[in-house]
Amino acid sequence: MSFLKRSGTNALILAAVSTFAGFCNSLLGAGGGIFLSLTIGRLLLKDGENGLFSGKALDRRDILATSQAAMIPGCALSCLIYAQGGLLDTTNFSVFAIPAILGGALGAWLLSRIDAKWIARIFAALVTWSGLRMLLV
Amino acid sequence: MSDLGLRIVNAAAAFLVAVLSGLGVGSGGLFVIWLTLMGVGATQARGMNLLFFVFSASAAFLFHLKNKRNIDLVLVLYLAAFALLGTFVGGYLGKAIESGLLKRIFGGLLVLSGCYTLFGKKLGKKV
Repeated sequence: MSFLKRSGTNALILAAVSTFAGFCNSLLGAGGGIFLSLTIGRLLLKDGENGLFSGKALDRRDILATSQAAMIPGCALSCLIYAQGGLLDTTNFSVFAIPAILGGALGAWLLSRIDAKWIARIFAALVTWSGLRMLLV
Repeated sequence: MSDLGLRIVNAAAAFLVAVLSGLGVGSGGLFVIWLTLMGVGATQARGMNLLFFVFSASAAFLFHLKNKRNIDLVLVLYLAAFALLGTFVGGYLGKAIESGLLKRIFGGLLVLSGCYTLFGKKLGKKV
């Protein structure tokens, strides 16, 4: 892992942030991915130090896709923990499963086709919205 | 509203939230709000939101892989390993923590960060 040798501090920050993101996601049921994207974006897009592990440069869209993928196993584990505690009722979930898959794929398709500036704006608006919801609700 | 009508509205709302999720910008908990409006309890809604994300994000991830998007898979594994650790700790030890306070601290961080992204550069130019 060349990145760890090159930038141990950033690797430690990313480890801490992803641990915190998983922790928040399991506790609050949302928000962890947003926090992870924000931090990765700030760390990886700063001073051109992109593609930390693979050596390939990652743009803003790649970072969104990367952080989203990183949250999947944690969310799956959270689901298991919720189900174990009897807190996950999947009886009506079939209504949402197909739209989730189709919408997710359409979103991924749109990611390459929407202006990066607009993605950043949508993202920032959702981050603010999500934060306000947590503060006020 | 009829049962079929309600199913269609639910599916349409889920589709729109999934598009946002597929864009990689998350859904900002919009699906939790939707489920709560539909009469689902808050804790159940949180669990369903997580399951919903697994479906939508997995579809997006497979789409990216198929279309050769530049995803750093080693970085994904590195982040996922620590996120799993955090999830495990949050899931089993989280009950002992006052989640209301955490929620507010976390919410405050997100608002600051979001506002900075939206308005930070404009403010910087004015100063």
